[in-house]
Amino acid sequence: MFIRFFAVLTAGLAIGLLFWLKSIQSDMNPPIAEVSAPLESTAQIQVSEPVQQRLSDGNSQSSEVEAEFEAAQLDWVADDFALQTQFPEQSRPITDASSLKKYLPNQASPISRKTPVGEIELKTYKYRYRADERITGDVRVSGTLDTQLSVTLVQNGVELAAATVSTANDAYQFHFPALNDRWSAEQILVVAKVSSPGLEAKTLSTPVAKQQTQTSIQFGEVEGSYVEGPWLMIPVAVRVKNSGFYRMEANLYSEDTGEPLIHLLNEVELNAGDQTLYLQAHIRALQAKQDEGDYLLSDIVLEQMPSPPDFTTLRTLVPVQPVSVRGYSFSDYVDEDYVDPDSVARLEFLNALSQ
Amino acid sequence: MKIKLGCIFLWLCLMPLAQADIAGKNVILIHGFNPFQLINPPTDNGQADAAAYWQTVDPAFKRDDGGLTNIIHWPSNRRLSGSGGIISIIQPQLSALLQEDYCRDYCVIVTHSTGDLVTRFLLKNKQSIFGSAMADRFKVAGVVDLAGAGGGTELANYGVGIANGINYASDIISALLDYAGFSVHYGLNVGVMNDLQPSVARNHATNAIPAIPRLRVAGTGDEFYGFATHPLIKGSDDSVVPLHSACGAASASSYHSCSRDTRIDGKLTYVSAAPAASDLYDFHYPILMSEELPHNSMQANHTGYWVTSVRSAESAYRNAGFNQLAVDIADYETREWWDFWQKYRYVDGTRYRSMSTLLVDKVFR
Repeated sequence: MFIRFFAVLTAGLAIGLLFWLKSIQSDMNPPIAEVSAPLESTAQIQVSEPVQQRLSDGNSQSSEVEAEFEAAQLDWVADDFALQTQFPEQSRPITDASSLKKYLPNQASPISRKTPVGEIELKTYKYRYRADERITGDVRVSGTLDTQLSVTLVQNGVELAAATVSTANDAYQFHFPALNDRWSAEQILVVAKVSSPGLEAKTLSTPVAKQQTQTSIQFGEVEGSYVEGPWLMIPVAVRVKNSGFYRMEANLYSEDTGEPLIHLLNEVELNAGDQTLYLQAHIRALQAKQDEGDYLLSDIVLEQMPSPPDFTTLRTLVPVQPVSVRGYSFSDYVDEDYVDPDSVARLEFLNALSQ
Repeated sequence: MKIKLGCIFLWLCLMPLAQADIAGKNVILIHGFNPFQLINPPTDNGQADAAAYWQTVDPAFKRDDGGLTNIIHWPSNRRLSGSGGIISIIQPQLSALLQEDYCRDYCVIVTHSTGDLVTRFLLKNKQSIFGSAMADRFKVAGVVDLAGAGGGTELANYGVGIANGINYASDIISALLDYAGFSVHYGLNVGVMNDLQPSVARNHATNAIPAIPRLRVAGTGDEFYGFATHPLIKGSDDSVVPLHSACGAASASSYHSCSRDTRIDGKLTYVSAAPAASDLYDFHYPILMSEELPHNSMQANHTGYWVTSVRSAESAYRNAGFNQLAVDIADYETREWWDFWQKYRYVDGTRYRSMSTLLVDKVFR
């Protein structure tokens, strides 16, 4: 009797365990319609208070409290798309200081290799350099103490220069003198060779490009800002040599705190001659950052966009100090939502995937 | 009159079969890097190789319309932009599609690998590449990036380095030989490989990305040469492309998942080496991941891989009330015998479908 009871009990426990192991956790996956309101169009979506807070929260750090706070904002793809497309492409709020890197021009990516005892990483401080400026960067080596390092510049298989290397902040910083006329290729390679006793020498390389000195568009000056409808208009005087499509990008910062606020963009077809290009900040983006100004305009990039027949992008980084831009009270703007029909259609597409 | 009506009827009957269609949208396919084209540059700008590239993708992605194609081709021995570059070869092909109003009701672009980089450049510069009138016809609902290489891959640095005479150790030369199938050597024209170096790729059209959703599919599986290429690539990778690129991350960091709340094998746990939402490029959304899926199985008719879905980019999973995904993927959670204190999430029917069929059946259904 005991054996039968024990056998039935064991079988019951085994079946229960099996069901538990393979149970589908439907309670963890509520249908989307149950937990989030349908998003019918971007025009109807309001920036909720926590989102405003997220957009205006400068240096947000991970924490349990914030994890819950962040979670409350995310309905993921369609929701995030709806949130982002409330703002025009040419006036996009920069979420926080750590997100600024997405909107900074001319950044280089590090390259690294693992070694049996650690890692080697090579990076330059920029991707594009002018021929008349020093090329700088650093090499970080972890896991070994007695390291020998050489850093060279290679152009079309020929060594152009050897770097001067110094130690600072747990890294080997290097710089090459300006190459000037010796820099002929569009792209050259920075090559780092690291050797340590008992380890095979490791070589890493990363490209740097020559900053084009194009003359098809020339930056003039940033003129006085003004409000037009829901937009803060920032006129920029340029001189265009060749007619064509041009793009200007820049970042708007708070003059008081230095916090990055909005990434600005404009693309326009321009004729040759003296022209005015407008950067525009939308009221919704300014409200999201809760900053009425004044502002600083910086990180200005001018591009001749690629077009037939050669499809070459000519990019100029405008070397000007941050320019002061006058701000206005939000009450001076027309208080209206931004609606982009293309974004509405894309949101409908994403929502259709959710059905 | 009867003949005309008959023709119209026949056309109406055949029309649904003619268009590549996912979620009711026409599809454009843009392939990735073909390394063999570096030593054997194609005479047809890569048209035949492009057709072969997508040969076994799910039929829903392909247009079979009396010789009309939705497969965009380009040769890998060219640079991305500039005179005679990839964009100059693609522009007339896309213009032909736009002329026939192929994207009138918004297209979906499906890319693999370097096709991601090509597409980003196209979309950001469509006004100048196509001209305003034609650009207005280039309406794109979304882009599906399979193993997207838009953020570059470290493998390219080594290929470019060897072509520039840099003397690497034998392990790197062997890895590239295994990957490419031929010996990369000094003086070789490595074409678009130049653009795939992370520093270069991440300077192509990245600052202000157009407001078009980029749905990302990422893997970390092994090609037969994976043992040689994995050590050269930062973080986890699919033997060719690192996760920092495939996930759509805005920096070339070391990542092991595209989501902070889901491991790439589907385990529902916190992952620190994953991009937060703010670390992703704007409008880039990782939706599917697979620990087992290698690079060239993304677009091929290969099956047998577990695939998990990404339900948020944040560490939000522990807050179960927000465990949701607006792009609704048919998935389920279970416990595994080897780790039954934790839950794993998989896409329904994953092991018996290729990735493209999985997308058709479970995402775009």
